[in-house]
Amino acid sequence: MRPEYSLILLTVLAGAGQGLFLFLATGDMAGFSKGSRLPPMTTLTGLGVALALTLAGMAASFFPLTHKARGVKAINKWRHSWLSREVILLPVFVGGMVFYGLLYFIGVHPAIIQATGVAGIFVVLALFISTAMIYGHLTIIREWGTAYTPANFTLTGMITGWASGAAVYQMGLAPVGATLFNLRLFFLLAVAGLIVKLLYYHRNSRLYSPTTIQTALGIGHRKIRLMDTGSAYPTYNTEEYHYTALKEKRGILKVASIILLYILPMAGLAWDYMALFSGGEGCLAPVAAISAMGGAFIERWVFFVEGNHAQNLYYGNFPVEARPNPILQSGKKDAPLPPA
Amino acid sequence: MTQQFALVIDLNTCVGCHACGAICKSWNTSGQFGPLTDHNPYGKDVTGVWFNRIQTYEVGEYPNVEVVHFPKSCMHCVDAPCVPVCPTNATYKREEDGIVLVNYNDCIGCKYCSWACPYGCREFDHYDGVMKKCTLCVDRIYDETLPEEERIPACVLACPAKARSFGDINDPESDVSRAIRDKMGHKLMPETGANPANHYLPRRKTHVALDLDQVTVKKQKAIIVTRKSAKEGETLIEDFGIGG
Repeated sequence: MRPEYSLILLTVLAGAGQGLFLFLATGDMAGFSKGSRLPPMTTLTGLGVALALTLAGMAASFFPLTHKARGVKAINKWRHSWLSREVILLPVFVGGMVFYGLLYFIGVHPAIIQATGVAGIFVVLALFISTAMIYGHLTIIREWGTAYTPANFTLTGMITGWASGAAVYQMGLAPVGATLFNLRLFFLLAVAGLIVKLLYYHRNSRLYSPTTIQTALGIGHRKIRLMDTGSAYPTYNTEEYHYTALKEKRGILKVASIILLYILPMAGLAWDYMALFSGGEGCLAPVAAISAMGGAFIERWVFFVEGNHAQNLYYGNFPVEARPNPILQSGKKDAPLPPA
Repeated sequence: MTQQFALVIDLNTCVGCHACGAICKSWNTSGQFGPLTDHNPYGKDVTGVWFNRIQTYEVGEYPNVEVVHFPKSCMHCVDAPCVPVCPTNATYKREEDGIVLVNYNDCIGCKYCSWACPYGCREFDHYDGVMKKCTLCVDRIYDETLPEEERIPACVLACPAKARSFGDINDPESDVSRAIRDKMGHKLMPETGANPANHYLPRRKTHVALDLDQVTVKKQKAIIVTRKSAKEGETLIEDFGIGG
């Protein structure tokens, strides 16, 4: 699929904003439970950063829409469309975050703040799921239509949010207890995210599609070759669903995204954790945050361009050679595959 | 049971002349749904919106090979995957006749429906900023100012090989239902669950099983045809003779 840069920006930036909110809400609770309240300015700064990230993502997704004034109509189909649910939940999340910040600013009873935080956590998780299921329920794009997609979107958003939050805590001089608690959570998230990502790539490397050129045309012959696309020039069908840029280098990009998104932030924050644990001060959290964001952008770009839409079969753009059907192939290892 | 209008396309007859695509563009670009815009129409990288595209495939291996022309437009699926994903309700399926349409006044141009369509039968119009698709010529089939035999989609009317037919597939006695039954009509990508309404009739070969002993070959005489347009005194002869 052609990568829609507005959607990459939305999912990464708003995802980081949501993750940062989760970080602040849980960090706040950890601080309370340990009896050492966070400096309000730390949480407020963090909320400001989360708000800026989310609004930037929303703006990026909004500008490419051809009819922006009709955007409000996108709440109509919340019963059926994941996109509609996302459109509803994003403003709810932003409004809730502002409300949470106001409560913090006014300084109401901590129990009220915590209750609002818990409600916010549920909204954030629902928003993660809604965003990811826009792609996750499209089973005709086999690479996207899997439970790994919502798991990956949620964990990536949380990792980028946690890394940004660690940076905010470091600069806001949060109590060591809350920071250590959240750093421990970060390692859990990063390991889980890495495992999900590797399983996702493993799944896609051995993916086969029940939809073949034979079922697409309804012709049962094994040898079917495209002779003419019916158009001398690229069309919407050949440009929107098929993207060949950097095709050879996608493996390197995957490795780069894994290093930037998981390995480097884990290493940087482990260094900080050790420093904090031994009574010193960490300094690598901002680097970890920037690295995680960069990795998330690359990861999301690869996610979009790796999607193969079933309609590519009609235009000879479906990677047949990478998708042998195990049922067809059983017992006939040397049987020639239909040409792409 | 309500109606479900659909096209039935006979791959055995289609000659790949692209007349259905051309007439579709012609009718719809001047019809009620506004133009199907072209970009750079007389330049090098011409591109534009088409509702009906025709691909050509080679099936088999030389020398046992056949060329299949494959016209493809919106399938007007019974369980259309493009309809539930549309966030604004711009894409909808009409209850009375099963035609899937786009309300251009509600479309925000998010392209989500084109991702959900397994057949790639929706095209984004960059000029109007909305998604466009085959309307099954809804502005023709109910138009009472047209003669009754012309109240069918433009592509069906234009097909010189009569490879396309239009009708209600929910009516078991309609021509299209009979054709699907009799000629083993099939759907495309049945595994996606979209349940498309449009059907395709497969390639067929008719072999007459006759014993040569039972056949008597009668030698025919030449048939001489004189054209009426020939001038007086001049005889134009065309020989359609079989075997002299």
